[in-house]
Amino acid sequence: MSWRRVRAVLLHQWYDTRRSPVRTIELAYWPVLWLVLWGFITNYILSAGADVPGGVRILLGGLILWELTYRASLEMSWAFMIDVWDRNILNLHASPLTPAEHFVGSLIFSLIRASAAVALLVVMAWLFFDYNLLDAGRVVPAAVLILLGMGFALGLAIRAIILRYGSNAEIVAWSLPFLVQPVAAVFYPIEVLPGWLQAVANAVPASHVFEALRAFVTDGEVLAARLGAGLALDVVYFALAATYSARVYHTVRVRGLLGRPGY
Amino acid sequence: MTAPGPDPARTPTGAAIEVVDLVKDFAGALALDGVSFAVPRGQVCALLGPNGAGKTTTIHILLGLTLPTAGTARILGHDVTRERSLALRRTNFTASYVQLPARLRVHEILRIFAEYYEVDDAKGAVEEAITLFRIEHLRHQRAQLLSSGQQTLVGLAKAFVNRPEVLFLDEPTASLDPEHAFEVRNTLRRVASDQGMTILITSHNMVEIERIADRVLLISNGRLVADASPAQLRDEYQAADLEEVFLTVARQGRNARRHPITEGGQP
Repeated sequence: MSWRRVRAVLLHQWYDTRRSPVRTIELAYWPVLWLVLWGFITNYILSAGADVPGGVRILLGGLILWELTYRASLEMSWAFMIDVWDRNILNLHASPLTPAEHFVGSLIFSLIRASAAVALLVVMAWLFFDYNLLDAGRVVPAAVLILLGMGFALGLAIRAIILRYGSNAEIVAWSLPFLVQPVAAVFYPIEVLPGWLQAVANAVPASHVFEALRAFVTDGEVLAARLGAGLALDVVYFALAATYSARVYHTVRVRGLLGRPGY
Repeated sequence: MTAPGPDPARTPTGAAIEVVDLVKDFAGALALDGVSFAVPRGQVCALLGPNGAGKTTTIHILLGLTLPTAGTARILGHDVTRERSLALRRTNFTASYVQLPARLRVHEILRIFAEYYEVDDAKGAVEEAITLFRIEHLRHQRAQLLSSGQQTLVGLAKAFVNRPEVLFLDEPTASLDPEHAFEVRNTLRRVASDQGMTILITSHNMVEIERIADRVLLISNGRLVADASPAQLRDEYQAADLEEVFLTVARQGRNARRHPITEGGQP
């Protein structure tokens, strides 16, 4: 692993972001839009006198923390796709840069972007909707770690899918996190899902995080087993995504796909 | 760049590029069928052949982009399938069919690639590459605003940014006007001579090859069919120029595909 090449990946991402108004604006546009929408929904629910365990504002906590997973996954994919769109993949693979170095550089850049987006949401939720994420206390650091880990595992898998199937597969990058969200217990507990979907939800790291978050806010209880399960699932999914990526890298080199248009 | 020097002990021939019994089978389509050659240091070697002959596949295998079905490919003694980063740090590549990061400025692109190749004095190397291809006026231009000819020049500057010992060029002057193509040929020839750079180049411009190549490898249907200097090839094929040699080889290759000879000599 050459840290100089990792830094060069970061530099490339920085130059590209600086020159891409879409990439810059998008970082705030969707998160803020969702926060405003859910902020008013929670206002409406509160004005109607309804409540949920842990308070209605916990929905905003779900929204903000889910942004970590979504953003980490999206940014990892985006960092790869700019080279696919620019048809620069061949130049990269013909250089000493290794896939692992590109991954680590992308991960660091994604971490910075995800942190910026979530920090903005935390401040806005506090200023405009009277919600302080840090009220969730000791669970927050573990939640952040697990949700980021899940996002990076998703991002790694999506990058491999795009490497294998080309730019036509980029729809996966945008849609996969949304496919997982209904079973991630972001806004509602696992128990509201049908039995068979509960089994699926229990296999999602994020669902354990949000269950633990609700338990802490409601009862002040830290569900260490839940957080442990979330972390363990992250490790499993990351290992699976890394194995799949290595297989794909081998396959595209066997099939000579790196030199074909669309890669 | 402080790259280690060549290690002749690692290659039986001490060659800069060494390909032995290279076979590439793309799911039943045989792109390379036992190609072997060695290119000594400092030689400008052309890899010629009709479309689909296996030229690009050979270069992609040498760059570690494609894995061979059988055989070995070595650059400066490093097996490219097992020691990819070590081999590629001392090489570079450009082709008419690759592009550069669209939104980045030319000097930023060169800087990033200088870092990928871990060049000492990256800033100086970038300036050197810019001067070499006379693209000072493009330094602050975004890649997406460059003409195809300008992109080609920037691609060539990228290929020189690490002062490579081995350079792979796949139709490098395809989109250049005659004047720029002439200048690029002279630059390639001069740098190869001054720095002892080894160049493996493909091109469909036979005049270009006659002017810059010390040696020509002719490849047809995935097999090496000739290996000689341009002058020797003209003599061997009793041709007026290299283009005539090329046409003869291409027709022979086409006929061989239409009327394959069986082992017993019967078509």
